[in-house]
Amino acid sequence: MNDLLVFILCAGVMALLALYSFAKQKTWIRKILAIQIFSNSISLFLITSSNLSKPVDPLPQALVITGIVVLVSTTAFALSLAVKIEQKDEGGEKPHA
Amino acid sequence: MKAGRSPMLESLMVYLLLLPLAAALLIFLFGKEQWILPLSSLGIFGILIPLGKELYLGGELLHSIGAWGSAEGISFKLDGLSFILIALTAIVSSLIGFYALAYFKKKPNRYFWAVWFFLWASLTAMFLSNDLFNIYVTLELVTLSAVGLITFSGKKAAYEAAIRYLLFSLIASFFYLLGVAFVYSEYKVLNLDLLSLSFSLSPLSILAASFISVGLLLKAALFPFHFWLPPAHSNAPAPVSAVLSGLVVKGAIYLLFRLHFEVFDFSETALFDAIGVAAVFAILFGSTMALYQKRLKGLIAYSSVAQIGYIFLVFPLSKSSSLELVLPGALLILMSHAFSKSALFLTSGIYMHFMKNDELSSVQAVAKKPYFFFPLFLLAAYTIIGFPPSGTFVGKWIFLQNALSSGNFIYAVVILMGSFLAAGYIYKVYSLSFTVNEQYNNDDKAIGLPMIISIFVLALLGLVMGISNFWLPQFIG
Repeated sequence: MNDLLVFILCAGVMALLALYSFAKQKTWIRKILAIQIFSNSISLFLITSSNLSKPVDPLPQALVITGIVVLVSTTAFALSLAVKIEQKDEGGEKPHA
Repeated sequence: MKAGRSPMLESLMVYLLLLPLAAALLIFLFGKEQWILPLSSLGIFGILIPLGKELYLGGELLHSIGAWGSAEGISFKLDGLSFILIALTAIVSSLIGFYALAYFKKKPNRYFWAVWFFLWASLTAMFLSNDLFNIYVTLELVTLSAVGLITFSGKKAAYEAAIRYLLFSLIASFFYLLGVAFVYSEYKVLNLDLLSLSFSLSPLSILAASFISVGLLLKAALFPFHFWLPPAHSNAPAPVSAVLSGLVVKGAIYLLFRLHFEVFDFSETALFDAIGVAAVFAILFGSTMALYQKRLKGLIAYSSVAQIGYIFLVFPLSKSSSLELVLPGALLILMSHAFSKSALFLTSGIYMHFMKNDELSSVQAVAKKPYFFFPLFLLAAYTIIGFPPSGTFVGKWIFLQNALSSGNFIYAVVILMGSFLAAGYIYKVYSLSFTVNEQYNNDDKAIGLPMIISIFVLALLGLVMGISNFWLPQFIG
């Protein structure tokens, strides 16, 4: 039980750190990284909570797999948007207020 | 549930989702959106009519995908509330679609249409889903396709609005997912019907429901979470702004209704009052900001912030008077806002075509040549201000009655003030038509009749929505 508590605490600390850096960081790439960490903390929490019951509950693990797939596609999309903005910056377009 | 209902009829629900999905795939491969759009719209209405009839006669329809059963499998549910939202999505999407066909005539883009139908399918899936995790997946799908649509204008401001919208939506989705994780670790079910049987106000479930609510309120853009909405909605191409304001925001509002009025038992807690305070600020702040906007689309977007506040007044008012009385009011405002706000954004597309920008100082030029801009704008704006017989009027009337009878005078005052402010910002656009300016883009051949007709039908639907109050309470009851 106690080792599981450590994981839950880890998940909580990770989530708080991620939210803090999401608010604090200035560039889009770093904000995207913060969101990755936030999502991973939720996955960690889900996996840990599935181990609380014996036998281990398989459903949260299926949810985590789905969550990872969603995260991969959204990250790819967000990164491509960040690259587009970067390119527009280099193209000398006027910055938007 | 009625005995003897054929399983065929219930599996029709799945086709509501499969048709736009198939349309997205076909357009992605072959183009030909001018044929696929009318055909798939007709198909969806052809499915909606027998389903609606069955729903009216026999009550809600359930369908488990792959016959897995509701405890572990994915199940779809169609009841009055979700049927109204699905029908709204179908009507508004197809009308905006016909406008967009003409709007993108010069440079057709089949990728736009693929994402467009994908958004339609995702919204329908969200309204049909009956379990918390499936809803999470549809939330992400709606976000991805909505953000994709914003980027089609190709401007840097649009990319920045899109990435800001995407990142805040992701944070919101993860808050929702965290809440779902808490709910699952407490109750071991995700199905909404099963969850509503066992939900109780334990500390963990209060925490879970708060996370879910914060995530959805962020997506619904209720004050103070509205900050991403005006840039995202005002930098997208006109048909996209219309569908974002008309439908995408309504998805999160629908989920909040579904969860709070049917599953969570929060009506006795302070959360509903907190939402009420936020709604009051949304109405006053959104309308005031709309008054000070220098761009037409910014004005329309801030007006959405205020109208979203009106819809959320249903939460505090359901506390003092019964939910059956006030929910039809919220749905009336929601529906007429979907129709007339999309109509307003579509007229802004006409405006931008003539002026090459949407600065409000150039409105006077539009008044001269394209004689249809102001009539269409005012027809749609009439509903936003809330004159009878629009749905906004009837909805505000229901809210006003309940606020007065339960002694919530602040809400009553705010409802009236919001209407005056709305009249103010609409008049700000209209008053500019009195001054004369000779400069305008003379090319009005590009504004085809289909564009004018679809705006007219949308604005008209918003205006006559108030009549639906005669059957709406029985339908959702």
